[in-house]
Amino acid sequence: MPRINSASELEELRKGVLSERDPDKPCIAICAGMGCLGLGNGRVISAFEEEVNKKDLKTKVDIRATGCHGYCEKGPMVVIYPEEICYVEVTPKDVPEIVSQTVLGKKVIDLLIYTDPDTGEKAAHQSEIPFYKNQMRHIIGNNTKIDPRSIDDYLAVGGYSALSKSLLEMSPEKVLDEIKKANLRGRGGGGFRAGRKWETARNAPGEEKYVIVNAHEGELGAFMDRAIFTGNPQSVLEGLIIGAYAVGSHRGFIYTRHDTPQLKNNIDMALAQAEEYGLLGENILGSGFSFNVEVHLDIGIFVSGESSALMRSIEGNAPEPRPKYIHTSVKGIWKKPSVLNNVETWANVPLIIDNGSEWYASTGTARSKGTKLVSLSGNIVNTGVAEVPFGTTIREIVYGIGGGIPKGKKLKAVHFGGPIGGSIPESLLDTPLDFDELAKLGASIGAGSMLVLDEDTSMVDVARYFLDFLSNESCGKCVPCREGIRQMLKILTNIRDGKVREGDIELLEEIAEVTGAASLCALGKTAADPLRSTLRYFRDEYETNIEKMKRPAEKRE
Amino acid sequence: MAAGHTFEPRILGFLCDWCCYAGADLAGVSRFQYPPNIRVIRLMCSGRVDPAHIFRAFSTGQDAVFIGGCHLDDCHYVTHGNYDALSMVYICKKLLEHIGLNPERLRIEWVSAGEGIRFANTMNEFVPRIEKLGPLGRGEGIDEHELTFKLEAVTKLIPYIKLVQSERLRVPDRTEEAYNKFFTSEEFNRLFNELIGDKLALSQIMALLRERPHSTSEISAILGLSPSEVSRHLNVSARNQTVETGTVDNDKIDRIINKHQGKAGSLVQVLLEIQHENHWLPQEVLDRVSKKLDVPLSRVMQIVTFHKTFSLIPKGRNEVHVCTGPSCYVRGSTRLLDTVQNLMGIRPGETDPDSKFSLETGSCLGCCNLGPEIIVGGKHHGRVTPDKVKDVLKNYE
Repeated sequence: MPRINSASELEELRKGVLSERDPDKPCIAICAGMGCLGLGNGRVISAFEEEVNKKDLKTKVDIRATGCHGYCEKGPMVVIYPEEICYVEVTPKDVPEIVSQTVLGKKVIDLLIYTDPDTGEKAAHQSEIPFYKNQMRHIIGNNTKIDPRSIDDYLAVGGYSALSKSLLEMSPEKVLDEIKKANLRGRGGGGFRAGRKWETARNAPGEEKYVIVNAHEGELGAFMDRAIFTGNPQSVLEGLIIGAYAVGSHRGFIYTRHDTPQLKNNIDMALAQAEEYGLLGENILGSGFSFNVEVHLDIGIFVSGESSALMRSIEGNAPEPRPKYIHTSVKGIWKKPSVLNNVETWANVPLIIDNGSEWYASTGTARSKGTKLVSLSGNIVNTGVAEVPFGTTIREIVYGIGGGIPKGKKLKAVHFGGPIGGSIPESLLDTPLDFDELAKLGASIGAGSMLVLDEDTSMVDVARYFLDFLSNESCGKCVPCREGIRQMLKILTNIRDGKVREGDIELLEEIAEVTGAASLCALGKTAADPLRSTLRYFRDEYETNIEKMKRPAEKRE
Repeated sequence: MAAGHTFEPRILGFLCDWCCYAGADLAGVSRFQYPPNIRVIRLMCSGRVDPAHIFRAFSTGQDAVFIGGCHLDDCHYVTHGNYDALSMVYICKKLLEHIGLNPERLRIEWVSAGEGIRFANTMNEFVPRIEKLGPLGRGEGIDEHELTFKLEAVTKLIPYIKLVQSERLRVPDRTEEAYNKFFTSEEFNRLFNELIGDKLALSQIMALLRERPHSTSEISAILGLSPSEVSRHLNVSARNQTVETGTVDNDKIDRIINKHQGKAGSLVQVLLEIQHENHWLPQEVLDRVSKKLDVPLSRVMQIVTFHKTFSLIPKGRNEVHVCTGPSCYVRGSTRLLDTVQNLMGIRPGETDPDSKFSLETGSCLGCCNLGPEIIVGGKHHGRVTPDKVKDVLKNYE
């Protein structure tokens, strides 16, 4: 492969890639995301390969194993280009029919397209399916169009134009300014302004600076980062290089999961290809800017997603957080300024540079700009990854995109942010998706996992469940977190098992407050959040639980 | 028996001076006929017979051991030494059984000084029985070599066994019923396996390895233990530094270390890769990593004990992971986990006796559309209800 040394060479290469591609050539895009993998899409992919070989169509039809399409519930998903006909729940035995009828015959197979379970309406294209119709897919939309293992595919959809624009046409300050004007906020949970973080690191003393992709994604029920990073690793990488340029860093780290081999392979592949094209390494695009990236794997513990713990892990130590009187953007890895952003945040960067901060800031609410990926799970009809503009109401997401609650049950609550998030009740469903609005309600958006709970769920049990999880994941370094979680868990288990005492709720509240105030890192500080939010909105459940327990005891006396 | 040769069992007798020895004497004086296979050692009390005597007798080629004492409660001494003899015999029989020898080769009888005829009758019965059993070891199908190291293994353990006997295997009532009841009870079996069985297995493995290195499968074949048990013992002793395990290919380890050497945070990455390759981290590997990367072993241990991703004990052939993430949880993963536990008979974090499955629970892997899900050896099985899980697991060997 040729090394690209200038913007014009990049454009030439892009033209070359596009000219080789016939837009009318049929392409079968099969989702190879994590969710579809478990539904047996491996067999579907090999069935397509076999069928195409058998019919001797190898030169006439492309087969593309793509990243997650988002609609995991109906997987394995197959999209046939150029008509963009979308088939859901495809099995290997459907394959010969799809090839002969749709790929060759250009006919839609009615049985395989999406049927609305309520109205019975059929939809042959993704854009007509309710799950997709109500989304704004800026970031994940490209997933269906590219093979994550091919950098050419990424170039074909306009990839790396933002990088060449920033490196060759903009100064680092200008890039930073753009990000600040776009008001890009960290998607990992805190909602911290990315521009400010970058600026702090840029102005911090020292030559050596680092940028890091946090692809740990430990939040339970969150799987959108994996969807982006597995499905379109180049976009994250492009964002990271732009960020490095703005910050003045020449060394980056990708911190990702050890238990998802597909993710790691795709990242490794993406790095190797980018390096070959000269988009990574020395003198990128002839701009004089050099940047290298290393991949690090986590050891599968929740707390290693916390910034200081993550950095300690990269240093080769056990992932224990440290007090952050000095931000990691000033003293991070090896006490050097380090900018840590989540996968989704980095993936937003090329969009901002490409289209300008004004365009970007035109989407969203006053204080939360752009789109947000959410992963829907729990008692919901359509499990999957959805991308919506900030400001979309939770009700729209749950009912419009998620398709509501299965088996006609009523919704009880929506839980955000996994073990360190909070729940909102049905009555607050019209709240818009917004960092600050949700935080005000005690249910901070977290990384974007939305766990939908139906009327049969016991909220006491949900709070207990998350504390149980955290009690195993607390690193044990600071006492308030280690002991506080344990004691809260003990009381909640007692309430569940009917061994309840007067004043337990008040005691819970007290411990929650102390744990939150005195813990070292975000894990401990927010460990009691699910408990607090359930106490806030579902206090009656705790009380009736306690009342119910008390009654038989009184009878005995 | 082989052509022409008749097997003459060699029997060693330990007889108490006050009763059985006098009884045997009386049998002789009275000219009662009994087979002349027994060689007698006279002791002051049957209670003085030590397990070491018994196993030494077997080690030097005796085919059976006979212990004769006074009738219970008739001991010449206030210590009632014959009760001690009884419990010692029960334990030694169990030990014999454990190493594959017939426990009938050890016999205890109560013969008073006036019961010459009883001694003769006992011998008339005992000797033919041993003849039938054949020579020690060969009769049980154990070759001479194996027999030696097995007996050696037990002999090495005797001081410990005596300690256990006095501490944990003591019967409070000195009555025959109480002794018989205790030593035939489940409780005794359990205690024996717990306190002595493991040690014995280990002692045998050690005796075997002292001769020359063996593989886990060889050891398991020779000792009739399951491979997982052998690995468990090896692992324990590896940690005590009594055994060096060669389960891991050192070149492979070096290759992994070299790949990451010099890179930032290489320790975590090296350990992770070895864990992925080998599925567990034996002591020698940790030592090697510590030495090669020039990191203190305490740091290595800090990392590997920090989270359950790293395992210090061998895992089963199939690692089973039941997702207990919140989405799976609200969709019924608790019941699924219960069913899996019942099917495998193990709890999370454990490996079943055949080393077929290791069970883990774990948080979300992001396939929430598949909930409740179970992952076996990296393969996802989605939407698994408790009644379906059996069908999923039966495909794994």
